[in-house]
Amino acid sequence: METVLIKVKRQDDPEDLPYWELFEVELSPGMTVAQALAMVRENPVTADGNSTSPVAHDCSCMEGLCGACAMQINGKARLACATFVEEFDGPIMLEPLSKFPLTRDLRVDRTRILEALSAAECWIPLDGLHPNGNMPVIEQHEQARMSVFLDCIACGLCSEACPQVNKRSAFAGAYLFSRVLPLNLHPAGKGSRGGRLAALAARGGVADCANAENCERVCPRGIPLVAAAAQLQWSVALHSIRRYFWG
Amino acid sequence: MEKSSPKIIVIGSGVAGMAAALSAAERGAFVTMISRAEPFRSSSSRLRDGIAAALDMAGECDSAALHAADTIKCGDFLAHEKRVKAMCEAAPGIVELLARMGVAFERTPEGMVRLTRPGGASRRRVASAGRGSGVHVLSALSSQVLRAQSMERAFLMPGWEFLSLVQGEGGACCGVVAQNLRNMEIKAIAADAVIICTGGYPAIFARHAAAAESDGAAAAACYAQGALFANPEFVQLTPFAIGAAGKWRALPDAVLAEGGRAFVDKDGRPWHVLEELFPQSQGLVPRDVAVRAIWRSMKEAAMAEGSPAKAFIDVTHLDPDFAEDQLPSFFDACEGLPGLDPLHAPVEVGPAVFATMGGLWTDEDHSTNIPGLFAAGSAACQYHGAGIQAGNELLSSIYGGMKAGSAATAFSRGTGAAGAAPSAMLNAAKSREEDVVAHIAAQEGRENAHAVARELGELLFATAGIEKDNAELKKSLAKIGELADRFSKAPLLDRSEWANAELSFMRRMRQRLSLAKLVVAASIARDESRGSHFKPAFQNRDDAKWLVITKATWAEDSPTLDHSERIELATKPDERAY
Repeated sequence: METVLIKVKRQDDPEDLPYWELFEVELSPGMTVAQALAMVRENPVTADGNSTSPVAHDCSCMEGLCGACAMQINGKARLACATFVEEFDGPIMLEPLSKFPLTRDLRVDRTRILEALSAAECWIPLDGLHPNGNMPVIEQHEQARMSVFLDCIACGLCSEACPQVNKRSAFAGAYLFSRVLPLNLHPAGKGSRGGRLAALAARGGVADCANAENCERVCPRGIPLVAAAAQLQWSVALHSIRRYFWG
Repeated sequence: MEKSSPKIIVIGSGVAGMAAALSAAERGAFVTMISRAEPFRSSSSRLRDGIAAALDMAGECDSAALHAADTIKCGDFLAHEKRVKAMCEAAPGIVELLARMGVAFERTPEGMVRLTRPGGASRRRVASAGRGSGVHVLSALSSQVLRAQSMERAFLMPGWEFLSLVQGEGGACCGVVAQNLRNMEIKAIAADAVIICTGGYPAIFARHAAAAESDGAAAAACYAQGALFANPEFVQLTPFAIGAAGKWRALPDAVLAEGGRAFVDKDGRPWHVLEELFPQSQGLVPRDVAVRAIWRSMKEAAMAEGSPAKAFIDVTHLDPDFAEDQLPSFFDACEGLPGLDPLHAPVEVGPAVFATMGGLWTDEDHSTNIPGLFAAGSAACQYHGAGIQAGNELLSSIYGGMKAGSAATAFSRGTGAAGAAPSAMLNAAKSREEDVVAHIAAQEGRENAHAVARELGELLFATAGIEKDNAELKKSLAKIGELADRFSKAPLLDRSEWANAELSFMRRMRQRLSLAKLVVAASIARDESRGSHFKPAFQNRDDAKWLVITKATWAEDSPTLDHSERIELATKPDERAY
């Protein structure tokens, strides 16, 4: 029986001390880290044969669309359901995302993503839900440009990989750019650009991005986050100049 | 709480839940949205087909009436015509609404919305967005929900799980009991009305193409408290799912509409079954029709060869640029899977449970039989009849959600509302759920609940999936009883009082078993073949007897089934030929 070793950084609750546990799981062809974790969940016994509690972790759609299973896999920010165990030689080390408050084991609390999106007013201020006959014409190339950013699943991997997201900074992560930019480009959202740009001009906004470009490397949706940041830095600068001269 | 600002609880933060929350908030309600995870993580994210609406932008003289006729035929005439028509009339406005919220639908070179033809439809009608319409629509709706929260009209409670209803005089719903999935606190919350938007139950089946939490637990909990459950026997399969990475991924209908071809491998040669059997619709038929055709052909090919046959989706003959341009959601489904290169080799596919048509019984306004309890989206049974047309999942969830939101607000302002639950009632509801926890914690034995869940799924897929047979179903019912017995001997694997996901799983497992019984019992009762419900022993549709909705009432041993609600159609149902 071919097996794979999984080493999990565990922590029973946010105040407790972390510890490591090693699990040995039967390997099947094309197996993902998420599948391996499901096997540990079903049979929570360590490689030494000791019973333990099941490893807490989030996992939902299993096809890379919900972003629930974001974690650190061998030190890299990745989705467990899109990472295949055959990629690795030695034991696979699993750790929770470090940029979000820990809940337990590999589970973290990502509600701050919602807070960051709210703070940046990441929405189009609709008149209401009633139909009003406004179906904006959007040229194909504009649509394609918006579409790549709207693929964002808010998994938070970009925040995890970013050196600027830390305890001393208010920067939330590059997902903010991916959410703001398509709204600014959208015919229905252009009018409300000002509010979003003002939010990005404040502390924790575009100026806090130091162009480390890690976000783009770990984004599971392949979103051009560096280009988004550059574009928004430019827009914010223009917006600030305009406001300075014309109020 | 003053009557002018009713308090409404929405359970679930998928597409339907957010639509319900927005519509209730717009009508002046104060909405609390309870969900297991943040709004982006719902099962709606995996909906790769877009949204259907008779936008009539392809020069085909499409209309809401045609959209409704196609929808009803796809559902094998088991949906109330008036309701389907109203939905189809609202559809173009809903696509517009999503576009105004920021969804960038695919465009034609002229800048108009590009439409594709879903299986079984007569016109090009589905607008899709980028690599995943579900993800894009969730993103747009969640942005509006955050806006409603900033305006203090809505309040998000992610990380809480719905457990049961608080019921007052005569069973009326006046709140919910929920559990915090972090600190495990159980709380009873009073409300003027509750809207269940927790999705369907595909995940109780093995080989499902949904999220692991799409197990219908919340709807099943309401059913156990007296809500009627409608049409549980109707389960939607898709023949075009990729089985990889421990999951089945449903491919969008667009792949066939834009020139991809489905075939069964017979003696090493491609056998284009669907095109051969359904030349008039170029092989673009509803999912249940396609599933059976491919399934039978695979059996036939396997018989001839003596080894299992395989089915494929082939886009290798298409111009690569054209294909990547027209089928982003198809390529997205294949992306990252080792050994898969759709441009150079056909992609192997198999049948998987994609969605469920059954759900809580609701009236035209999405009210269940319990006063104050509403349901929308896949948690409700309303628009799909015996089969779902691609593009109608998103449409019905948004339309139904908005309808439920406004109906719940109107109800709360009316005289029927039970009003705020007294604290004694809330405490009683809470302690009932604490007893459930104690009961689960006391389970002892050597069984494993996860293994039982898996066996249950395999049993359901084998007996209540593609083809159903009464003798097998009856055996299956007995086996479910055995599995329930084994489950009661499965201990709780996690004893922690903090973020205990096992407890939640075990509680949901109880609901799974009750739903499984319901699906099988309702399948046994319906002796006909209609849409996704297919019994080889009863090959034909029987409109004289079975043009009715199954309405199930919960009972301790087996559900009571009522078949008295006839479907209202303006004209006599046609033959369902493609």
